[in-house]
Amino acid sequence: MQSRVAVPQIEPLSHQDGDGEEFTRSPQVEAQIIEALSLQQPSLQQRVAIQDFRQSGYLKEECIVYLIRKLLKEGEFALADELVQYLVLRIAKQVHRQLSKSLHESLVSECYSDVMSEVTCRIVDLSSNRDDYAQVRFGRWLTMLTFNMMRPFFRLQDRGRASDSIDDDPEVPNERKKVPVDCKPLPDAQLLEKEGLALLNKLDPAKRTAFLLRHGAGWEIVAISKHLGRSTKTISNWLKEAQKQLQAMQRGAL
Amino acid sequence: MKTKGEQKRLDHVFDLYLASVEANEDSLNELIARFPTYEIELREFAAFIKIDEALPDRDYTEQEEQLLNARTISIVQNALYNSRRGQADTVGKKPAARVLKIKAGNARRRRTGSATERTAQEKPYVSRDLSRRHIARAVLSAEIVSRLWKERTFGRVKHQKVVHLCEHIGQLREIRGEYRRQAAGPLDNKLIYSVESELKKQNWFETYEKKSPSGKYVGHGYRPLSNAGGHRVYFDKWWSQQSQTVVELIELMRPWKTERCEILSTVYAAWNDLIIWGKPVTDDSILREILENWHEGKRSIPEHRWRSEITWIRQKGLVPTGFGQATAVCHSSF
Repeated sequence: MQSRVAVPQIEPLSHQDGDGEEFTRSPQVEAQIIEALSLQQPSLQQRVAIQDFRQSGYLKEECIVYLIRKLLKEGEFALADELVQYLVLRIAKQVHRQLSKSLHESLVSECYSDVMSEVTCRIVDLSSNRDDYAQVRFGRWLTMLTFNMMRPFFRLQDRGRASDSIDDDPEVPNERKKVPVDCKPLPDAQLLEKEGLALLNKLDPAKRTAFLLRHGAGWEIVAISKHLGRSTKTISNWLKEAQKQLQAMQRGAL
Repeated sequence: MKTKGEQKRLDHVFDLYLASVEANEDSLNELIARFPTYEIELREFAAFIKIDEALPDRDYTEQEEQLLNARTISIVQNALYNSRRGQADTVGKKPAARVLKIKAGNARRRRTGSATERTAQEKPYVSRDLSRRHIARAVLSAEIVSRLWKERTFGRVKHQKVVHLCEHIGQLREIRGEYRRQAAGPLDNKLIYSVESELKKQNWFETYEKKSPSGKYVGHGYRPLSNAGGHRVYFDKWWSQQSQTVVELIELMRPWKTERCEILSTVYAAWNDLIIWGKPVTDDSILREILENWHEGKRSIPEHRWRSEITWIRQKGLVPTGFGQATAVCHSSF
């Protein structure tokens, strides 16, 4: 008699990408899902708990998202919740780091709550297939979600405390308006690498944004000016002030 | 606000950008040319990616990592709880009807700016307007201070406890306190200091150092400024439905000593946390949460006082509902 091994059926993804094609998981993810479905609960918990992708038995995030949604559909809430927790703990530091880089420290905590809450809600939302992409490219899905959640915080940050330059004041005589429109490239990539966020967070949020856009993202002053809604001269002054402040702080003068 | 379709298209554009970055080909300009509508979003997204690459990753100490993980679990448990509650609310209702209701609610709130119309079905964290939250906190605080500032027992600690209880028992969603387990009960340090600063800025109240007749510092007090009472118009407007509960609660606590407020606030928060986490709630489990998982200082208060407070909460019909966020272990960085 011929033996037959039942291969678990994996539900295909139904959401379409921007080109109208339905998303498909990678063969590696599908293979992991088939393997995971054959595991007993304790083994599955052990496998999901592995956080280091270099360790054998590591399950990719895409696979875990599938398992969570499947368990929820089957009413296995306790195990699904456990898997959600393992998954978010995997990404906790990555998300927190990303937020710490782009946002002033006063906004990180709140934004972090929003991101992690949204990640959870979207993964467990069985009423929609809009997050199918999390089973295709989890890293990219997370990056986009994080960015989308950060945007309101960018607005808050851009309205930060830094004041306009005196050069924007029409009452100020023209002789004082001699600030160059663009700065020379500053050697501040090195400064950032050495001192990083600790120094940056001592700047006003808006100055911090301007500085990062200039030296982290390489934006032109004109672009920063348009983005923050301040004159190019104000931005130039902010950059100069930020540079001075950072260098002074680096020397331990502040 | 983008529609679902727009957001989907935008995500597709972001995805194309990420794919190009992974292939070491920065296609920003090309994508802007192809999708000029999304120029601003694309530039911001590209900046976000570049800044992430340019800055070094911060290191976390073991303690920081543990705290971050603890906080993450708390956030996720809250989100799971709210998600289940949202699903339970919809049982027996047509999904489309629910969506319409939420959309209608959102539209109405956008038009009127009224926060009291928020329903329990909506997702948490809807409002990201920090300045609105800040003002809402100041208004609640002003209501409390305006009623209690003359009381000898009223200082900063009691102020914080009353804010915590008003937020949770009154279910004031705008406050969104982030409380940590401190020796004197749940505390949102940033909240209380930012609120005091706003009270002064609005010329409603200011703090001062209370001193004994011998000149010894005995705590902080509050005294009215020229615009005291000016908050009430906002209080009545924002929380017309909850104002009676809040006022009754403040009046109930008027004669209480700070320690009694701390006990009520702690019991309420521990109980509320158990509900949020979906753990069994019994007198013993609440006590365990307070005596073993809160702060060692809690053990100095006799067990019978905690138990009688639990009974009092039930008698008064103030049993927690799992409202808000769970409290977190104390740390300032997260």
